[in-house]
Amino acid sequence: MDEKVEVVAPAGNLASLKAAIENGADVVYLGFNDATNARNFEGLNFTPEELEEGVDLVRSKGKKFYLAVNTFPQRDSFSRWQRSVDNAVLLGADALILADLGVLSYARRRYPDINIHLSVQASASNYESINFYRSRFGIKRVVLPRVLTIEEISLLRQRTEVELEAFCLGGLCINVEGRCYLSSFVTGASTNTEGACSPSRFVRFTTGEGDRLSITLNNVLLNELEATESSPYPTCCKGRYMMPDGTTSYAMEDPESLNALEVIPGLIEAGVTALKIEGRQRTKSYVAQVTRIVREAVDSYYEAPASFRIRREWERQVTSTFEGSSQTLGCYLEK
Amino acid sequence: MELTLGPVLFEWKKDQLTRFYEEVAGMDVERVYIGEVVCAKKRGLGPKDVETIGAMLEQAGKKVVVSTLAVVSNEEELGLVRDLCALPFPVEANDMSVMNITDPGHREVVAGPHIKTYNREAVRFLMDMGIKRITFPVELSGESVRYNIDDTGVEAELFAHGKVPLAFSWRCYTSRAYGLKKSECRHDCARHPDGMEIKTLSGEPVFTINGTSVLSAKPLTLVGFVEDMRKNGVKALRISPHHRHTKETVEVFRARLDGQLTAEEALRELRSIYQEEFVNGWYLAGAGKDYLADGAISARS
Repeated sequence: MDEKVEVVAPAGNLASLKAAIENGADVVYLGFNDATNARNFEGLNFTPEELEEGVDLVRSKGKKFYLAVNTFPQRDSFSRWQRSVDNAVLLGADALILADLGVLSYARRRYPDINIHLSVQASASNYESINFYRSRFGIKRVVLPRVLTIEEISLLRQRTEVELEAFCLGGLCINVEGRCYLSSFVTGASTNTEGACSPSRFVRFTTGEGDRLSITLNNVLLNELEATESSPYPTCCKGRYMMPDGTTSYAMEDPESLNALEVIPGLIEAGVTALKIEGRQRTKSYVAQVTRIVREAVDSYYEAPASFRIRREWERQVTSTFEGSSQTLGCYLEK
Repeated sequence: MELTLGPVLFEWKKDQLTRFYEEVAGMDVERVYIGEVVCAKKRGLGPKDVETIGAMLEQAGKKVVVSTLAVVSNEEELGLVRDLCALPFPVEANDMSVMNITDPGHREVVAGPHIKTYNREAVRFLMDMGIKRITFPVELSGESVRYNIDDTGVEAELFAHGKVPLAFSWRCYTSRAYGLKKSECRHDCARHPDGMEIKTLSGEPVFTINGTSVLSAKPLTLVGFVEDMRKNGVKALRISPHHRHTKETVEVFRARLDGQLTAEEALRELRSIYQEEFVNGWYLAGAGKDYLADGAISARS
């Protein structure tokens, strides 16, 4: 069998980076602490100086790191994105994860030899699109939007040379990343440009009668929860709405997280090169736990592909990280 | 400044679409986008029908452009994009796959609102490929669009009226509302010719679900900003069809462009036609869901 599938883990800070590396990640992915990456939350991400320390750690363990510069600059801010690209190259990133056509053009022109991965934010979900980015920018890999079944990934694999990276655990965007303006519509802060969906400055949790919790985003009510119900981070897609017939419903998505452990064999056999864990905004203990589980799952697959089974402790531990939300396979098996 | 009519985003029946485009032939718009942006499963018009209607609209003096899918994830969807690209009209790309299927250097391709053109460098990249017209993403402010037009001279089109597309998914939200999966599609979206409006738990209309897409509940209108857009060099304003009021909306916009209606008069007119409120906040760099007073432009400058 070829090389093992790569386990790509999130690192929102040095502690998480360390946790990921110590728990079996082959690669960590990260971003600078500004709008040039798509997880631009307060207190998260790295200054170039902090990163140097992280890079030393990554290298000392013989691992790799990818740097995400995967948002969409507007107006006169383009130079900041150029600087992030420059800094990522200076730090020796094993690949840059890019999305914007302008940033891609700059990076390829300025640095003909770097590895470029096409970010999920570029929404390239078919081989014509992926091959376009390949011919124009020489992308080495694409991070696949979460709109494909495993069967579709397998067919895609046959039509492109570009490596495929697929999400396997963590938060789940039900709408196509990079093509979702729900948070921007409600708040005015562009997720694509600012790098944050439902920025915390717009979120309010208010406890009312009978401990009922109201959650608003820029004064738009996203949910009301009984004291016994729990909710993940409030985004429009996981809000509860009133339907035309007067019933209330999670119209787009139940509060749920992606858990694709059981289809890891399918993803590997479909030909993906890397499995990605979502969660740069999560804690180091989350990163440690889920990275270790994915590592164990991948290793156990290669030891005996035919008898791959989900271990009960993985299931229990993964579910405990979902903060009360349920788990889903997304559309990996059917739409 | 031109007026254009966007693609029909909803599932309408074939006879309804045929009647609609017969009416469009008589509307005062320079350009008509026809095709399919949302879902390959829709039954309204096949590529052959698009060709016939397109030819009829050309006869009526309209420029006809074929719009293509925003999300393309499998052979069925790629097949539809290829069939639409094969028609004898210019193509509006809404996914980068179109750039690989057809060469913008050799035929007319425009970049639609679902191509992420956020900055001058992206505009230049597309123009270098041969693309002359770009409909910018709906969330860009008037200022951001002006910045992109300056220096590049791109033909800029803006989504100027209608329920505004906010998101796309693999999941069919309409089917979900009927307790079904996308693969179990019963075309329930055909029952909702302007989509299914959903409200917050406090009763505020906020989104419209429409098959695999989400739109705003209230229509967006930029009717108040005509002078500002003209000053900024915007070339065309797009009106997105609804199953009612499209013709009247075109008339109001035409009267605005011709200087026969002020911003206030046009807005009053639209409110009396639609009997509902509008949104426009993104244009002024606010929240898309809000309606900001037209005066905010002069207050800002």
